[in-house]
Amino acid sequence: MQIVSPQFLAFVSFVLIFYALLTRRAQNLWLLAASYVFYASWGWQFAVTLAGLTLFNYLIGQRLVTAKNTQLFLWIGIGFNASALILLKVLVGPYGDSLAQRLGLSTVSMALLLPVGFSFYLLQAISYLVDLSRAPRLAATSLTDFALYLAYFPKLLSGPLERPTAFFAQLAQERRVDNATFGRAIGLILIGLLRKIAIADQLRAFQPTELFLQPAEFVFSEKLIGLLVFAFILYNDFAGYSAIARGVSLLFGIQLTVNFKQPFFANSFSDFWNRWHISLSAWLRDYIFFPARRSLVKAKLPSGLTILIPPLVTMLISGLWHGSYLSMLFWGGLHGFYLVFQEFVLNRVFPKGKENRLTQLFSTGLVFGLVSLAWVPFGASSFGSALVYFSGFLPPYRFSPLPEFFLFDVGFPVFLALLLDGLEARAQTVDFFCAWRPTPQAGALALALLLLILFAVSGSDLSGFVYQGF
Amino acid sequence: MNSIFSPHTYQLKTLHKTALARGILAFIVLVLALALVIETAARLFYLPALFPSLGSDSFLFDYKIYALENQFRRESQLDCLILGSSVANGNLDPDLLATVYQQETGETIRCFNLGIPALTVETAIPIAKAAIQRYSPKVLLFILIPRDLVDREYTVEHLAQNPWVTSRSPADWLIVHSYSLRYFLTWQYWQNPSNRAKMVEETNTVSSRGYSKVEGVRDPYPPDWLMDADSLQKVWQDPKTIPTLETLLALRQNGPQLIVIEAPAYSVAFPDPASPAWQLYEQDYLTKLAQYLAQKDVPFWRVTEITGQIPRPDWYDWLHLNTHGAKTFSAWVGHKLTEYQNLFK
Repeated sequence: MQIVSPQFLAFVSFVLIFYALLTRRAQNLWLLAASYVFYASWGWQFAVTLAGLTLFNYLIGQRLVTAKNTQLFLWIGIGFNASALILLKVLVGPYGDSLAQRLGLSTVSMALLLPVGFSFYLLQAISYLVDLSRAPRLAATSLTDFALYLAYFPKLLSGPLERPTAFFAQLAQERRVDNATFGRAIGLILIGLLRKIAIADQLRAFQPTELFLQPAEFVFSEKLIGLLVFAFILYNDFAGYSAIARGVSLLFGIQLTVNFKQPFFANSFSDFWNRWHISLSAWLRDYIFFPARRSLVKAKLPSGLTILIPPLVTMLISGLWHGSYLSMLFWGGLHGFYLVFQEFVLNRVFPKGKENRLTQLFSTGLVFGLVSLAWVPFGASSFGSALVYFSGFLPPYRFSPLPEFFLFDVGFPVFLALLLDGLEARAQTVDFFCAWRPTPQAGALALALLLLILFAVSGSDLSGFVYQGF
Repeated sequence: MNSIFSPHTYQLKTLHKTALARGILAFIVLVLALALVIETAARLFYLPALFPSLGSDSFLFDYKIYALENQFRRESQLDCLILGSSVANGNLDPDLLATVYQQETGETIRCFNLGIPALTVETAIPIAKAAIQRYSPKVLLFILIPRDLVDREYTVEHLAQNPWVTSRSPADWLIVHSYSLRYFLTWQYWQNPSNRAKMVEETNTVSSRGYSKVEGVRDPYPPDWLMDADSLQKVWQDPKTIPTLETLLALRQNGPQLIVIEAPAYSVAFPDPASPAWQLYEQDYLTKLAQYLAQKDVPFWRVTEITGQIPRPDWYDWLHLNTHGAKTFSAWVGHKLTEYQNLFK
């Protein structure tokens, strides 16, 4: 069941109707049941795997707080989850098929091993164990609530990654959905749909499918435009999904973490990671970056190394999390390098607190440009094709004329994306519309609905058909 | 025992007074206002570049239906409807035909060419029925080549399921009668970038009476693969040929006079008497067809009366005439119509 589908709308409506009639505890159980039904709609094996992992982590967690050697159980838990994550990442990567063949894995066992959304709930399971080792009171959480924490359907497939303490706190209290919350939820869903349908999908229809597969076939201008379009597709697709997830969750009275805050307006690389896939960035920061830096400082390594190593390691792990292949590791490494470059060079050339408007603008442009360049290995099918793509940015530069309707196909969605980001930045919140007066709110809602209807479905491709000669 | 039910989570008592409700209302008003503007404009103006679709998956068909509707709205009368595959679509110009007819009889006739490439007789029948029901043409001119009777592979049979043809449900009715909905369908097709060139290519040479102009000579010139011996042999062997022809002829019960015209083909105009294909065409396909139509009292016009006047440069390819050839052919059809008295009375 896709999130943007009539089936999902019917599913949410059905779940919501009964949810509205239940008490808090019953609501949690009902949401858990609904989440497993939702997950089973992607494959019953996925639900089995999730249930198994949930039980394992819960039992390890209970043992962790009662055992004398807490660290042993913590590392067993982390080790198991991390190994599962790495194994699954390798299996879904380019070497997955040959590995599965060598291991003699059947289709059913592959389905058990490759559940949708596992990258997200395994990180949340690790969060639970680490936080539990720091705050044993979390062990009081019931199995139902813990299972719901991992399986909660609005965030199950692609996050946001929630922290156990904040999530359990919401599950433990009565929920209230008033007019303002309901309106905010609908607004978020609409913005998410706009980002997904009117921006990302529109741009995707324009993007040549071969751009990252056969980059040698494209000239400089096509590669440049293609890369910028790719950046907007990626951002709006994921930010759209996150907004829908937040909106749907809010309908149930449960707040999810904001995942994107106008990342293309970032004026430093660390600022970019505070705005892009925020819940993952925060997870990496809290569970990889800070522990790594603390242990390096404890080991009394030279300060240069304590600055250099943690961002590189963190971003390499981020790359591995996104995909277990060389070009994705390269993407992570490149971002690690950017962070180091910022620390050693940019922060010294443009000291913090002394920026003027021009240097801020320059920094924003520089960050956007370099982050966009890093999308090449992210989008490329292989490291080799990423290098071919990069080579297209070297002279001699060749240009091709802009396609007809370029302004409509690319200009309009990009304008809409920047408009939404601008409104968010101006209001300093992604729920910018909440501060508007009712009349502009109503007008914007009407316009958003109209845009969605206009862009929701495009006609079938007829270009190849017809016996033209007859 | 504690109840599991509680009505306290949702506090939405005055939801109808919120911006959400007002926004939905504003959206409905906006859509209705837009629809009103489109409905009015589409009925007042004929804008061929912006044709409303019927969702038929054929831009040419949708375009022609729009042109036909507009023609009927302007003239309130349709005297003859031309049907057939590409041999009708690009060979017969209703304007020229009407001019010749008027020159010879002094009477004005209003024709429309609803020929669609790859149309077969089987698919043409429901389309003709729908057109007869709406516009009551007095004459139906069917330009026929053998492939129209037997081709099952390269067809546009999906057109027979189009709402304009079937009108089976309220949704069909709405599509046919609402220009705003039809323009919305056009918009949906246009949004798919791969369709845009095709939309222009298929419709920009079509006249307001449905004739698709074809210029020059096709390059490369394709082989004559439809008029080969194998294909021709199939025509009368196919058990569906006679029932299909009978259904076509039954259209006369709804009012119009049916005239079948042999489509001009280069191999007919410049025959090779030694070729087995030509022998089959003349001795099997055409002889039997002429006999069958004569028995049923349907006029059948042989194009050989005129093909001698169509030189090689007037052929677009082996089966299609270019504008020069179409001029000769259309004038001939216009002249032939004058031979029948009271045809349009």
